[in-house]
Amino acid sequence: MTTPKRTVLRLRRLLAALITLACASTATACASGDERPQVVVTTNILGDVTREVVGDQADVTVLMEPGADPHSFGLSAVQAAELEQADLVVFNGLGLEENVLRHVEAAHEAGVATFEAGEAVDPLTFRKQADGGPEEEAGQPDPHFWTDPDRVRRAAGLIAGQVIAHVDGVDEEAVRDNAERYDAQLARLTAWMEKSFDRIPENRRALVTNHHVFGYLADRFGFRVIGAVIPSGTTLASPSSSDLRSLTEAMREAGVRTVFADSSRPTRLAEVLRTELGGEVRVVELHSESLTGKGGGADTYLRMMRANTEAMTAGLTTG
Amino acid sequence: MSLSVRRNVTAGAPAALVALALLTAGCAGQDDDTSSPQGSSTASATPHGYVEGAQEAAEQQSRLVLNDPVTGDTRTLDLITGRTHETSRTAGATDLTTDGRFGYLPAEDGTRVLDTGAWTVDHGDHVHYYRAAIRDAGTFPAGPGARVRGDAAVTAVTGEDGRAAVYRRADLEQGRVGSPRTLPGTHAGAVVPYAEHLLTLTRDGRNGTPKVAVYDRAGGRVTSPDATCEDPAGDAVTRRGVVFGCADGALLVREDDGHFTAERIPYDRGLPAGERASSFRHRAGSDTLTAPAGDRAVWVLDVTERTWTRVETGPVVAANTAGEGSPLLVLETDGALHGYDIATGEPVARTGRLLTGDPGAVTGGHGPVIEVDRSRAYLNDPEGSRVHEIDYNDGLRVARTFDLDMKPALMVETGR
Repeated sequence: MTTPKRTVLRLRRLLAALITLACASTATACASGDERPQVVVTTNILGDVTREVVGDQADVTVLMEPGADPHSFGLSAVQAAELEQADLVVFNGLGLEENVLRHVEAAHEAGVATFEAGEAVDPLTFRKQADGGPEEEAGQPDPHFWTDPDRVRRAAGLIAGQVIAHVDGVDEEAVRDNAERYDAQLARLTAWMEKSFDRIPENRRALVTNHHVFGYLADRFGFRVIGAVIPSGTTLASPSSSDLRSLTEAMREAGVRTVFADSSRPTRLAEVLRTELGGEVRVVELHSESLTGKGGGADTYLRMMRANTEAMTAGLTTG
Repeated sequence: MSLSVRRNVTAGAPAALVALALLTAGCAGQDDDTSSPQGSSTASATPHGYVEGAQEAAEQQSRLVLNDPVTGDTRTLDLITGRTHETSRTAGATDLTTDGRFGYLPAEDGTRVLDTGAWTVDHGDHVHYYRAAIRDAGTFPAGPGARVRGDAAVTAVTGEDGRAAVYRRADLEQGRVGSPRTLPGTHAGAVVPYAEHLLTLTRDGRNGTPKVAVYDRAGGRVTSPDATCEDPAGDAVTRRGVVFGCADGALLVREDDGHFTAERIPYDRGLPAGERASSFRHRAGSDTLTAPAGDRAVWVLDVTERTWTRVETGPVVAANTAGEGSPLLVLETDGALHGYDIATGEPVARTGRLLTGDPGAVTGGHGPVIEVDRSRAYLNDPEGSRVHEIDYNDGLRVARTFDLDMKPALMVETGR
C-alpha cells in the first residue's frame, strides 16, 4: 500500500519542481499553477503556527519576510496574485498588516476563504497611553495577540478547522493530528512560561518598554506594562536629565532596573541611565512583531516565546 | 487513502502540465509588470517598511549636509556616530535645501542632488527610520537661484526664470534624476508639493499680483482658491497647510477633502518692506514659523492659532524654534545664541559666544543658520569650521561641538 503512495508523492514533487523551474526561468514567481493546495499566511508568526498545523498537507506561503515589520511590509504584484489564488488566507487582522489588508479583502471578495485570527481569539483593546498604551490607539483592538500563548493555542485550533473546511485535498485526520501535537507543545510552553515568571517577585513584574505588543502577555501572566520614550541616537550622545525623564520616571514607578527596548545603542543607553539613576541598569531587547531568520534565536513561535521569557525573567530577577 | 491521492494525481498531472504551459506563456506576457519588484512596490500608495539597500533603524537617523561655496567642500555629518563623510565638491552653491532626505545645491552647472541616506517614512500611527549609503543622485539642469521643494513623491525645481520642472522622487531614490515633467506657467516663488498636488503663485501678465494656482502632480491645473499674494517671499510647509509670505501677511493654503482653500493671516498694521517676514524657518512638522522682522526683532507665526507675534531681540543673524513651548532661538551679532519665551517675549537663556569672527560681516544669505529637530538644534560656525549641537530644552546647553576640516557656510539637516 505504501509503494504507490510514495511514487505518487515523488511524481507530485517532480511536477512541482518542474513548475517552479519553469516559473523561475520566466523571471517571475508564478507559483499559482501548482496543483497542491495553497494556504497563504500574511505574518511570519502566524505562518509558523499554520505550518505546524498544516504539516505536509498543503503548501504554506508566508508573505512577510523574517525580521520585517508587520505594520509596513507590502506585497509584490506576484504575491498579490498568489493571494487571490489561495485555497485559504490566514491573516492576523485587527489592523496589523496595514499594507496587505486591502489585498486580503480583495481576495475575500474574489471568493477566497479568509481567516482573521486576531478577531477570532477574543481580542483585548489597547490601554490608554498613561497606562502604557500607544499614543493614539486607546480603545482600539490590540492586534498583538500572539504574546499570549493561550490565544495562539485557540488560533491554532481554529486554523486547523479552517484548513479542513476550506482546503480541498488535505487529509483531515493528518491535520487534526498535527494540531493536537502542536496544541500540546503550546500547552507546555504556557506552563513553562508560568513557572519561569513565578521566579519574578510580584512587585517586580513590570515591563518598562517602548513596545506596544506585550499587553496580552501582561494580561495573561500578571505583568504591568509601563510605556516609555527611548531617547534618540542624537540625544544619547550628550543627554540632559529631561531627555531621559520619560524612561527614568517609568523605571522609578516600576521599581525595576531593566528596560526592555530596541535602541540602536543599547550599551550607551544603559550607561547614561546608570549615570542618571546610579547603580546597575540593563537594556534588554525582546522579539516583538516578527520571527527572525533561521538561527536568529526566534525562528519559530515557540523559540521566540522562550527567548523572550528567558530575557524577561533574567532581566527582572537579577540585580 | 492512497487511492484517492492517486486519483488526484492522475487527473491532476495533465492539468498541471497544461497549466504549466499556460503559465510560461502567461508569465512571459506579464514580464513588464512583474519582473521589477521595485516598480510594483512603489505602485502601492505608501512605500512599505522593507527598502532594498537600506537598514531600518530604531530611531531617527539625523545627518547634516555641510557645504563651503567658496572651495566647494561638501560633507555629510552623521549625528548618531559623529562621523563625517566626504562627498564630491560643489563650488558656487547659492543655496542648500532638503526635503528630509536629499540635499539640493543649486550651482553654476546645475542643481546637485545628494542622497544623504537618512530618512523617515510616516505611516500615520507609527514611523520608520532608515539609514543607507550616502551617494550622488545626479544634477538638475536648473542653475544658481533655483528653488527646490519636495515631498514623498515629487521634487519641484523652480528656476530663477520662474519656470518649473517636476521630478519623481522614486528616480532620485534609484540614484538618478530621471526625466521631469514641465509645469506650465511662470512662477513668482517656489513651487511647493503639498497634499498630492503642487501649490504655486503665478502671474497672469508681467505686472499683475501673483495668484494662487494648484496643479496635480501630472501638471494639470485644478480648481484653485481665489487668492492673491503681493510681493511673495518665503514659503513653508506645515501640517496645517502651506504658508506663503506676502507683503501684508501670510497666506495659508490648505487642502480639505480634495478642495483647496486660502486664508490670509495679516499683520496688524502696514509694515515697511524691511520688516515683513520674507523667509521662514521652522522645525519640520511644526506649525510655528519664525522669520527675521527687520534688524532687531523676530516674527513668530503660529499657524494653528493664525497669529503673528513680534519678539524684540538683539541684532538678528538667524532664528528658529521647535515650537510647542520651546524657546525662540536667535543667533545675534554678538555671536551667541539667545533663547526667548515666545509668549512673553522675555529672554530666558543665552550661550557664550559660539561664532568665530564677525557675524555682521556675513552677507548674501550665506550666514549661519539654526536647524531644529525634536530634541536638538544645530548651529554652523563657518569661520570656526565647526557645528554646535544645542539642547534647547536645557537652558541652551551646548551638548556637542563637531570640529570639521572645512568651513560649513551652508547647512541643512536630513533624516526626517
